[in-house]
Amino acid sequence: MWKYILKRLAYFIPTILGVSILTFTIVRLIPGDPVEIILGRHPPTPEIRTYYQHILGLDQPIYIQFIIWLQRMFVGNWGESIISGLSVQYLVFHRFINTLQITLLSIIWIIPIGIILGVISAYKAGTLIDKTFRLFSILGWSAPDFLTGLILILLFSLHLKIFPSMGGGGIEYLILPSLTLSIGSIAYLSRITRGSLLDVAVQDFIRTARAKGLSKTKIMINHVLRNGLLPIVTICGMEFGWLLSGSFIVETIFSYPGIGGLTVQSISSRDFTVVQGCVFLITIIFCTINLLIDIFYVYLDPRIRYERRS
Amino acid sequence: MERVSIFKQLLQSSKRDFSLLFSLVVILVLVFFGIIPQYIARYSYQDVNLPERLLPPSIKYPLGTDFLGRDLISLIIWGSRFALIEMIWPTVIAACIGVLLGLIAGYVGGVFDEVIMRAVDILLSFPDLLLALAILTILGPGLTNALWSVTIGRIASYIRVSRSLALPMREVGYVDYAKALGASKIRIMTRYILPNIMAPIIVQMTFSMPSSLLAVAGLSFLGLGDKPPTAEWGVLLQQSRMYLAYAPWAALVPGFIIFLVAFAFNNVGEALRDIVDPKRKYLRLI
Repeated sequence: MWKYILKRLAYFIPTILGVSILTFTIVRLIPGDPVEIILGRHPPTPEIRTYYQHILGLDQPIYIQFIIWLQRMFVGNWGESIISGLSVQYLVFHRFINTLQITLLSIIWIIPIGIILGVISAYKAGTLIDKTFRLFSILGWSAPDFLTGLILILLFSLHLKIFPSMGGGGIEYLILPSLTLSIGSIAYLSRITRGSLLDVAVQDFIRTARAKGLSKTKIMINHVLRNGLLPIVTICGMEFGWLLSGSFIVETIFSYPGIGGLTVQSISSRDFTVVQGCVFLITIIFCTINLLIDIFYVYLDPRIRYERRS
Repeated sequence: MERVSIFKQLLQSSKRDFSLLFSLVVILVLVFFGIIPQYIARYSYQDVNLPERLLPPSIKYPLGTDFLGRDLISLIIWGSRFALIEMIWPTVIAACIGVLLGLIAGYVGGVFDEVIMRAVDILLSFPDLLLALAILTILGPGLTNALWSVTIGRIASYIRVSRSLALPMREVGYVDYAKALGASKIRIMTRYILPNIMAPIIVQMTFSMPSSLLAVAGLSFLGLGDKPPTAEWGVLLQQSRMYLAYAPWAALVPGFIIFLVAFAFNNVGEALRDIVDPKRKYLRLI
């Protein structure tokens, strides 16, 4: 088990390094002089230019520049926003907390509803109920966020006037965005649950359990669910990672002050230091969550431990 | 040969499955609209007619008009051309590059495999649209740039899938025989391995088309894709969003059309998957 975890950790480091290199190159690949890009619209005087070239390390070779940049990112000095002059890490973390709230609320809808629908669908596999559920899951999975979001705004904000259509602050601002995010995820999770349970159902130990004369419900709870829910843990974790990275479209529709909305706004306003900060934070969190899922999975599923050992 | 039989089976199962038949018709109509919109649409998508803006659906304008007074149904028909491009471009280019690299990584292996797979890990560490957004930051907004950015984001998953399909092929009997007969690596990959991994890749491409449409239309919706005046569905939706309270149809019609097309492709993808892997269909719990 430890060998597997160490191996997984060893893969984590080059991935983080690669992601950092890509994030670093964003600002460098934009056509134009980095100093002018970072200082925004005002053309700098020669003294200011030299000063910034020194601060940014532009007078150093590129790999040294990267190391300086990476050091700054890990120390927590992410620079200043080109547009507002605010500290980037303050902006990004502040917005990230808002996205975290939406994520937690969405997870409350997604995991129970998705798994229950999937279990029912698998239990009734091949029947009309299963076929209807499958059709609905394809529908839910195909629904674009921008359509669901607009329909929810139309219904609950403009007609019924229950929830606000934009902004952030209290719990009432979280309901509609989290519902929009949940629909696709519920559909996806229920499909995965169904498939995973059916994969277990054809295995030998289920046949043995039936031959022993156990009841259908007992087999379902003690054997199928216990084994079939393992891969679902992974999917739930991945879903958490996806949601934490902030939905660009949903946060834009609801003008929600989350990290996804911030990314889109700063791309539109060409606020590159903020874009860099957002991309960096989102990818680091996403990679870390994937790492944790993999480690947790080894802990849950003893088969992986033994496979790796032999 | 195999592809023809998959398609035949698809037509056959559509006789029993109404939603599948419906999806195939939707795709057919979309392709038809996308190829010759100029003969079907009554108005051009540049026919701005401000006095008749935001009209509700009527006999003259069956789906109403948008905020520039353009006929929505004509806009949808013109937009199907964009939709086709948005589905085919990222899917086909990403599949070609991804399958080529994945095939080499899986069959040849070695250092090349190691390097490619680390690169795939890095690319897959960017969630959702983030990689596309990062690339668009560098390239600047626009439809072509949006298409490229989505394309690059798709390559990694094709590499991963085709590699994992090609990997077990090293051990398959007929590949060994071909090797014994002196076939070159390129010949083995193109003549013996590729045809045998094509079916699952076609399934993946079918699923990838609607998600490309949603991604590019989503980027347009965020104002990073095509610019108005255009008939691109994502832009139509974004432009009409402010009039949601007075003229909901102007935003909902393009939204529903995108939904319909995405559903049609996902549903066909699902049916194709059942055909490629028939075991799935007959699974029963307990």
